[in-house]
Amino acid sequence: MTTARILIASLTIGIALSVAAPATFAATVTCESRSGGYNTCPVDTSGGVTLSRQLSSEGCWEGDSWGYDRNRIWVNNGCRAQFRVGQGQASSSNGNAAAAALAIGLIGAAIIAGSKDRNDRNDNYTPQGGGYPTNNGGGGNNWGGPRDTFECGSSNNSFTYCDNARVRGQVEVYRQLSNSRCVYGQSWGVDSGRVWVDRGCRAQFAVY
Amino acid sequence: MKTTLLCLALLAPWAAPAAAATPPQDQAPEITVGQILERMDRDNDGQVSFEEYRNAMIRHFHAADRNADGGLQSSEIPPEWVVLSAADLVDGRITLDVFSDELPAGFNAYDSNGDGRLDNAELNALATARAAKLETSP
Repeated sequence: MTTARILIASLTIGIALSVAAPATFAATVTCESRSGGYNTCPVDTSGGVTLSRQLSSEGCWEGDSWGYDRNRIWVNNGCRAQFRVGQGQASSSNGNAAAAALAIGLIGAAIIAGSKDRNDRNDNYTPQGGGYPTNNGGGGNNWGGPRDTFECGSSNNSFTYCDNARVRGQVEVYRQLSNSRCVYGQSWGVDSGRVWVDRGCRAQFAVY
Repeated sequence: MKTTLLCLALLAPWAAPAAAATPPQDQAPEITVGQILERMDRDNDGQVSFEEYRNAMIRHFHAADRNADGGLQSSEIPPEWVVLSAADLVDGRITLDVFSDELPAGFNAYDSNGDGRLDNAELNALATARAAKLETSP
C-alpha cells in the first residue's frame, strides 16, 4: 500500500514536471457527488489536478471517492470539493503560527471528544463495532466520529456481502486492511443498505 | 502570534458549570500518538497523510456546524477547541473556506521533513506542542 502511494506520488510529480515548461492555465473546478452518486466534471486535466478545498463532510479520498482521467474529474460517495486544475500551484506556505495553533487545538479536540464519547457511552458499543459508539442521543458526538464501525473483507478476491444488517447513513472506508485497494463502486460499495466487497478489498468500514 | 484563548472565553458562560464539576485535566487531557493514528490513519501505515488529516478535520468542522450554514459562530465552536486564532474569525465566525485554507499550513508546521506525512516523531511533536500550549493557558 505504501509502495503504491509512493508510486502515485511519483507519478503525480512526474506529471507536474512534464508540463512545467509551458505555463498553461490554472482554474478551479467544483465537482460534487450528489446524493452519494457518481458524477463527472469535464475539464482538461493535462496540467494536473489537486484537491484544493474539500467541501463535504463525506470523505474525499483520491482513487476511492475522487479521481481524474484525461478530460474529466470524477467524484463519488458524497465527495464535494474544489479542484485546482493546471499550473496554478497552491501557495504552499510552510506553516504559520496561527495555523499551527489551530492544528494542535483541532487535532486534539477530535481525539479527546472521541475518547470521551467512548468512555462515557460503553452501553452504545455495537457487537461487531470497532469501538466507536453510536450517537443516537443527539448532541454528544460533536467531533464527527463514526456512529459505527465494522470489518469486512473479500475472500479469494470474490464478491461478497458483509454480514451485518443493513446500514443507514453514509459508509466509508475507515481503515483499509488489504493490500488490494478499496475503490468505491469497484471493489466495495453499498447496495440498498447492504455493504459489499470484491477484488480482495478488506477494510474496517465506518458508518456516519 | 495572535493566538488567543478566544473560544474558551466566548464559551465561558455555559462551559463554566462543566468546568466546575470536573478537574482541569479532564477538560483538556493530553493526547497520544496512538490516539491520533487510531482516529486518522486510514491506510494503516503508521503515519498521517495530509489527505487523512484533511478528511478528519473537515468532518470535525461539519459535525460542529449544527445549523449547516458553512460557518461556525462562537456558540458552535466546541469547548474542546481550546486553541483558536483570532485571525481565523471573520465577523465572529470561522468559515469553512478559511478553515480549509488553514489546514495545509497547520499540517506543514509539524511535517518537519516535508514528506507530506506526519510520522511518529512529528505526531509526538504535535502532541507535545499541544500539551505545552495547554500548560501556558490560564
